[in-house]
Amino acid sequence: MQADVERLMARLLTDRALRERFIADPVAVARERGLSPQEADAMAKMPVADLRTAARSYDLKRNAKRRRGRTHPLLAWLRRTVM
Amino acid sequence: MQRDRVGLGWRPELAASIFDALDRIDVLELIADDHLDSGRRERRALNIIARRVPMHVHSIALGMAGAEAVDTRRLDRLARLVNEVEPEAWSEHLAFMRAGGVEIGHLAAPPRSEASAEGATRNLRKATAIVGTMPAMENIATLIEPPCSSLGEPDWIARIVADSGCGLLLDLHNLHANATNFRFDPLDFLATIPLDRISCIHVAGGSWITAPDGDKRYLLDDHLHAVDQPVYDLLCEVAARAAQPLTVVLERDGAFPPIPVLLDELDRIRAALAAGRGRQHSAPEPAHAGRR
Repeated sequence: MQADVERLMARLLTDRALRERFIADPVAVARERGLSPQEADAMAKMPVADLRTAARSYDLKRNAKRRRGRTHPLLAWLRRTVM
Repeated sequence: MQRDRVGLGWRPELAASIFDALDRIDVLELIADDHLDSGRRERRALNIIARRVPMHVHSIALGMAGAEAVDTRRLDRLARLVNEVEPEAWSEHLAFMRAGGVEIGHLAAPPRSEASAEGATRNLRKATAIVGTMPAMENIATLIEPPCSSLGEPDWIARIVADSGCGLLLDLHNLHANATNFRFDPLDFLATIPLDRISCIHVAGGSWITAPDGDKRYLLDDHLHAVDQPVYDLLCEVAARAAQPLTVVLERDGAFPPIPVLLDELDRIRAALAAGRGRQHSAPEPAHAGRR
C-alpha cells in the first residue's frame, strides 16, 4: 500500500540506523515494515547512492529550516517599521 | 487580452529592492509557510502589497499527494492567510512531507500510481473546500525515482489534473533536474502533460552535488544559483506550445545577488517567452478537419 511505502521512505530519509540496515538487507526491512513481497522487491531496486544522497539533502534542508526559524534581522526590522 | 507576466518570489531579504523595482516585476509569489504565524499587521501589509502587485501564495508543507489525508488544521491556517492577503491564486506541490508521524522536512515524491493520483485528488477537493479556491499543483524535483510506481511522472500528473480539475504549476528547473538525473527527454514530458492547464511556471537555478559514498553526480534544485540555459530553452518550448498567457516566477531562496542581477534574469525570462511566442506565430496554420 502507498501508505506503507511512504512510512518506510520517511523513516529511511530521516533515520540513519534504519537506512544502513535497509541498505544491508532491503527486502527483510521492507517486509518487517509491512510491505508486500512485490513492494519489498521494488524498494530493493532503489539505488543506494540515490537513497544516501537524498537523505543527506533532506538532512541539510532540515538544518537550514531550523536556522531560518530564527527571525532574520531584516525581517525583524521590517516587522518593527513597515508591518 | 491578457499577456505573459514575469515575477519574483517575495523574500524578506529582497523586500526593499523589490519595492524599488516594481515597474519591472509583474507578479510576486509569497511562501505561505513563512507567514502562517504572522500577526494581523504583517498580513495587512501583505494585503496592501497584493493590492499593488498581483500576488500568488505558494504553500509547501501540506503534503497534498501523500497517502494520509491533508491535515485540516494546516488547511485552516492557510485559509486564514489566503483570506487576509487576498492573493490572485495559490499553489502547492505534488509531494508528501510526512508519514507515520515522521516529518521528512521537505518535499518527497510518493509512489506514482492510480491510487496515489486518487488520493491527491481527494486532498485537492478537501483543500479547495476549506481554502475556497483550488490550488495549482507543482511537479517536484526528486533525487529518488519513487519505488512502487506504476505510472510515469507526466502520466501521473496528467491523471491528477484531469481528475481534480486543478491547474498546473510547471517547475521547469525541477523538470530539468529530474530529466538530467534520471536521463529522460524533458520534451517527452512536455508532450504528455496537459500544457493548456499550466497556470504558472517556476524557473530557478541549481548546482551539482556528488553522492556521499561514490562519484555519481546529481543536479540539485537548490534555488541558490542563476537560472541555467536549458531551463530558458524549456521555457521557450512551453511558450511555443501553450496558447494561454503564462505567468513565470523566478525562485531564489538564498545567496542573493544584487537586485539588478535578478532583474536581468527576469529580462532573460521575458526574452525566452518572446522567442517561444514568436515560434508560435510563425508556425503554419494547422489544417482543419472540415476544410476542403
